[in-house]
Amino acid sequence: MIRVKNVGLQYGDGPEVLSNINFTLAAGSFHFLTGRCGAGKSSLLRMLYLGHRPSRGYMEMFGKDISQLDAHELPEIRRRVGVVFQDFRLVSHLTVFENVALPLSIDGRPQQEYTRDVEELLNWVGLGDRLDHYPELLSGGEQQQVAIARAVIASPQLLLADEPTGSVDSEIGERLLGLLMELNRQGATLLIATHDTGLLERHRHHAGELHLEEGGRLRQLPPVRAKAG
Amino acid sequence: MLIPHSKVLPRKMPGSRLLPLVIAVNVYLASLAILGGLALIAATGQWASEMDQLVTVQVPPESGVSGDAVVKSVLGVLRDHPAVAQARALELSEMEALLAPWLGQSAAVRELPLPQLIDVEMRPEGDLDSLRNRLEAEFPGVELDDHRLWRDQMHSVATTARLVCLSLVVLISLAAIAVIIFATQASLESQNELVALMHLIGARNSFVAGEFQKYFLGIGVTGVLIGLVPVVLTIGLIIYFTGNDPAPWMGRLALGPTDYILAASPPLIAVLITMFTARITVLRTLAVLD
Repeated sequence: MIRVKNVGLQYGDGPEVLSNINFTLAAGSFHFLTGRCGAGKSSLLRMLYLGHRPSRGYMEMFGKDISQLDAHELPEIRRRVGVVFQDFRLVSHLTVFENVALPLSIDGRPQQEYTRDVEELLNWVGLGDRLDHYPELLSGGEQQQVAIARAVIASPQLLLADEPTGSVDSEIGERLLGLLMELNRQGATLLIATHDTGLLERHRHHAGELHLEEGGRLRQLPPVRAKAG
Repeated sequence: MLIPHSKVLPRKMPGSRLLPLVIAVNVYLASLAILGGLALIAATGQWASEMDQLVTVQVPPESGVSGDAVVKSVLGVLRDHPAVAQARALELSEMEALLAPWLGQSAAVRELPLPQLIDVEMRPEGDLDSLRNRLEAEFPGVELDDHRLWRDQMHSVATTARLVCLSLVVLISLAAIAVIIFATQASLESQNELVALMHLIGARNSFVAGEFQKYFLGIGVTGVLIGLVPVVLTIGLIIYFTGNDPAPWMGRLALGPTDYILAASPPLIAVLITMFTARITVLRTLAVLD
């Protein structure tokens, strides 16, 4: 589904923040993206949600060579990617319902077509009674739940999450991670950027790892097999 | 409400709060310019068509004692000519009235060797050159004045006035476009996080531009409605103060369908300018994101 070969990424004329990146994400797989602060995790995610195209190398998403796509073809690829941003990026003048419905709204779907889906999803994440609330009235965990709901409402094939448990306590963190894993079980490819080692240890037996090292290089590690007995 | 509104943009954005007022003023000024232009066109058109039909024949005074006979002969030729609808020699009192602004009401005017003037009303499409040739051949010294100098000057004045009105409308439109570009950029700037978010989650540039277009459509319509109030009041005041006869300076104000479309154009143009300026500004801004 995602193939990245010898990719480099730089912003403007600056130095490369990612160098010779190689990895593959199979459809329906689950990976953590790890590395020290400043290693380039957010840049890698940004490249995958097409916020910035690679400066060099080959990147294939959903069977398409990204470097060959025209600008007008990118929105279709982006709509197949759900993103949970580290800072949530909820829209302050839109209600919880409107925030979650945003990906469907920008796709031009009529509201009556998606109202039920949005309400069901918000019920599922536990915010069914907050549909008309504005983000500023929600706690950090609730805002994160809204961000996750918005990322998955359009049933993306690739789900990217940048530190989704970073601003909530461990109990809520596990609950949010449970939501993302449930979506992964339903078929979405999942890539979670985190530096929460505890979270990583608890789930590395069923999740692979992309580890960014110093100098913007990357190692891909398979899930760790659980020890017998 | 019939006007579609954006589902994703805020109801009010910085940079566009006073825009309805600016559009209202522009609509008012553009409407006045167009109404003035239409009045000029109506007036000059009426004057020109009247002058095109009227010519004056001058029989010089040196015709002497036989002058009356010459005038009668000229009148005879004129009335028989196929290009002439009617011809009438001016009475002495009428000529005195014409000269009064320059010579006053003195009885001495009667002693002056004045040419005899004959008003001639031409038939539509009447051949003026043939009439002139005939008079020159039969009555040397008799002159035919077709008021060409006045007519040309009036056409020149009317054309200049029309160009001034058109220039005003163009300048007002350009000013409106500049203000709307500024307001759109300010609104875009205020919503750059939202625009970036929509961009990243797969919104097409045309969708984002369409949302801003809807927002500015609402502003444009509001501005037009505000601007139409003084336009209607102004027209009402003109009609009120000129009574039942607004014609003296507006011609007969016989407006046709094209004139009504023209008079209605500033509000329509204002709305279209607002929408499409906003759309193009947003598209140009978003084009650099990819």
